[in-house]
Amino acid sequence: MAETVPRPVLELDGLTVRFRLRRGDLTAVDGVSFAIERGQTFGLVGESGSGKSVTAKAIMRLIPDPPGEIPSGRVLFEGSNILDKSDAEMRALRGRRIAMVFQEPMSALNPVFTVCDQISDALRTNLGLSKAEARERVVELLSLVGIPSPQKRLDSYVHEFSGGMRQRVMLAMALSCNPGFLIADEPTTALDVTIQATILELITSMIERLGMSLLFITHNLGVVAHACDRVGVMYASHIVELGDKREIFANPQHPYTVGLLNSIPRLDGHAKYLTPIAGSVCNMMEPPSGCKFHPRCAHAMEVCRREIPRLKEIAPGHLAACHLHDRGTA
Amino acid sequence: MTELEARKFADLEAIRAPTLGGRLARWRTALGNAWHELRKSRTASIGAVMLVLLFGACIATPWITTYDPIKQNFRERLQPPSEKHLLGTDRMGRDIYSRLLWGGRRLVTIALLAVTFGLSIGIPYGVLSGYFGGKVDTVAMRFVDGLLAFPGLLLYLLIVTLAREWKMEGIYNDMVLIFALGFAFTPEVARLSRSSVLVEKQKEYVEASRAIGEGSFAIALRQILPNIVSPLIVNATVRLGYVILIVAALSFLGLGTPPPTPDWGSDLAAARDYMETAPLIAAFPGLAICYTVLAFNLFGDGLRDILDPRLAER
Amino acid sequence: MTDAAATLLSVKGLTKHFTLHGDIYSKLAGEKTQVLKAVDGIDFHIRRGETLGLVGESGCGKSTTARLVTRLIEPTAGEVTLKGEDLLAFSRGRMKEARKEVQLVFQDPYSSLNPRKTIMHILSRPMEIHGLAHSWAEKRERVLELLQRVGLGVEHIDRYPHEFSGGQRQRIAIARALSVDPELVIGDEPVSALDVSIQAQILNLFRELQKEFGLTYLFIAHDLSVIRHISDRVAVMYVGKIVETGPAAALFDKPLHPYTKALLAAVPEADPAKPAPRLTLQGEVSTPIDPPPGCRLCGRCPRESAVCAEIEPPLVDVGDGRQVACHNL
Repeated sequence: MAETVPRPVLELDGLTVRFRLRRGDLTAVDGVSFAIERGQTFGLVGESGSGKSVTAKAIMRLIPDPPGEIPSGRVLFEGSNILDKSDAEMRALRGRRIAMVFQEPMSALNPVFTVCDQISDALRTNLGLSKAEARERVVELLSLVGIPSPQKRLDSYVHEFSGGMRQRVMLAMALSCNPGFLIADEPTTALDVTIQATILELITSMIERLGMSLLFITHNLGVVAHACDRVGVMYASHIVELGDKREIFANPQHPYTVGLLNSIPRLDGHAKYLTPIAGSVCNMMEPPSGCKFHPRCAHAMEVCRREIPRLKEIAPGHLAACHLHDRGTA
Repeated sequence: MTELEARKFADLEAIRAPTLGGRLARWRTALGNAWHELRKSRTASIGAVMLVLLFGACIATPWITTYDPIKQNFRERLQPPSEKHLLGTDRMGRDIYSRLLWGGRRLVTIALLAVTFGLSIGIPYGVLSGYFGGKVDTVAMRFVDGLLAFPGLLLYLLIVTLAREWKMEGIYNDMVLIFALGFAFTPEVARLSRSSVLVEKQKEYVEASRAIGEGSFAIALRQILPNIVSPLIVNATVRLGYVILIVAALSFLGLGTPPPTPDWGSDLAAARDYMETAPLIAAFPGLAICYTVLAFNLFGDGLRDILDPRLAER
Repeated sequence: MTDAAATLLSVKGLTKHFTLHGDIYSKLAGEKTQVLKAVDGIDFHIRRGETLGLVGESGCGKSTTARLVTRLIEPTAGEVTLKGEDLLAFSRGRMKEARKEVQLVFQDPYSSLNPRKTIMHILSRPMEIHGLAHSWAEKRERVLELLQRVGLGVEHIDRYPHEFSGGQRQRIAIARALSVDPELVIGDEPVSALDVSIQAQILNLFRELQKEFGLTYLFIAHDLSVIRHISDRVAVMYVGKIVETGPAAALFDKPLHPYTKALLAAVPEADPAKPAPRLTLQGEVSTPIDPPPGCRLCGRCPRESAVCAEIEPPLVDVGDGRQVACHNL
């Protein structure tokens, strides 16, 4: 029977993104499915080239076409498929309902406009505020993200801010139109560790205060461990493991996740050698057959070379895509 | 020893001491790759084909022409194209086809030498100036600025007039031309290579070279230089077309090599008087100039398209 | 062995100030030229066979330090002593020889290898410069050995850097450093551009090579867990100054300087059970441009007192081989 289960804010269903390049086709995202509940922070973690940023761009419909295309899959935002929307509908959605924070504020913010101009521009077009109203709102936003004496900084240019402050400005811009959903693409990667701590704190408290949902993309497992509720691990265009944060860290099921966790040097304890994952990430132009991870996997079996493993539920809410789990379930 | 082990051993031996055949094979792959890259740009491919034809014709000139380009034959003046004279004859009864080829051979040689001369002075000048930087660079570049401020055409006219004054003829005249054109190209090359070096100098491999104890000249010329050739090649190719145009213009104005040396510019000038009666005589050298300049420009533009994205990718 | 013989490299009062030249208009307006104190009088030493980790945030001067001790840039003041000899007094020729002893591994393996040179050239050139191999065959043989030693296939020898992944390139960079048989290898953030799984491989490689060749490391990084993992002793830098040094285990278990404490508290550990990262300092990193007198942490420090703004705290011994620069311990 249809119970009134709250619908997820965002649901990806078999999303596939392909780039048609001169040298051949490159499938950057392959059949990725996950859902983000209201008020939840979902961490998408993976190494460079795993397809995590492309996933975010696909949700925002920012994949340049050509060379990019989305041959299959759906992106349901509050129930409706984003991929079917017209450009005008998409423009209405971006900024107002879904906002994005990038890794490099310097390239995401326009250097020739003042901070106030940039933020109030969105406010005036999206919310129809007057110039004075918008200015007032910008002051509010800047103090919300913790920029000291916002009145004074209002007419500064981006280059006059430090790295951490720039990231705050970008966050203020993202929050300006009260979006319900935020995508943060490696927002702390370019920052020093102490500044990263403050920005992380800021993002998590903002999400809580404004009741937003967040898709957090990062390669840093430490950041995931503290900023997210649910985690998806990506490797070579596939989601290989999906589950609650505590489950993933305490009880990782996919050999890749296990390998990642073992690769990180720890602050406590002093292991002489780490146990890294052997080999290097496969060339996405010529991916291996079957499980993309099998050439690096210590447990690789014959079937891994042949078949791409599907995501299977191992424990409630905990899924992994690995043939090792076939024996138990099949 | 199993077969596999034997093969591995053989491979290792081949790596340890590559045979001549192995090296040739590597060259062949490199050439193949170059052609593969070239085909990515239609512009470049068309330019390349046109250039191959041009160079082929220049090299083969002595064998594919049948007439002496300067031998006059008044009985066969102003003839239209025929089997005997493929493109007809000019007002002195000289075979236009032969004149075009010999003229082209001379023109292309002048252009190549001039551009090579410009590169060979400009590149070391710019690279060293950029690499050492500081006061050396400031002084060197102000000098280049001064040269750039001097109009090129005026310089050619000056040098060519001087050459006349000193009664330089034949090969000497051509050498003066080569020197003038190459010299005028130098500042541009120096500037371009300097700015590329400034970008390249920031990269860590330069620091790495210093850290292993490599000398300054070796770093500038052996490590950095190979990394900045792409924009220089593009520039030089386009410049070749430009130089040909200049040489033709100079001789059109009567400042090039005096007749009867076959020359597209002076032939064009001479054909002006017959524009109404025999327009083809003027058309052929004109078309030849057009074709050559176009070939170099297409090839250069295409090269830029191919080389630039790779520069951005890094 | 005496202490002097055990010390491979020692640095005293090493200083690098950059004078910032304003544009001509600010000069006309009579503005004073500013001085960026990238490295401002630091002391440290490295014993034979140990790994000293130098950690700090961007702009603290740790990379400048690496370039100063290798004389890639000339220091404003201070002493650098390598194997008991004053490195800064070396002539050009003697310095070239000394370069053999100290090698660098850079951060970005994409720009630290010349894209137009084959691996063979990149690895054999140092041997050529220092006359370590004479014939082509000899060089080839040694390059093949090096490749195998850093875990790369011999078939890679005639390829170009762009054919390799980041991790493989870093292995090549390490092989280049090893090609001249150095005693000290300085790693300037050698793993920070790499993915986690590759980073672990390279860290292990550093370890193995140290054991095999008895290398001494100066390992520079901003990642505290990497520093904790690789180092025997650690020096923490903040805006051109060393604020704390000591054995890695002791320093990480019980940090003494407020800045070290703040750094450690800010690290997000890959374990949800650990406390969330937070910042225990106020504001942002102080500027190295014309810094005010007194402690560099002034205005940010939770333990600040009146003396901090006036007198720069010296680095003092606190026992157990640890040194801290703070007035209020």
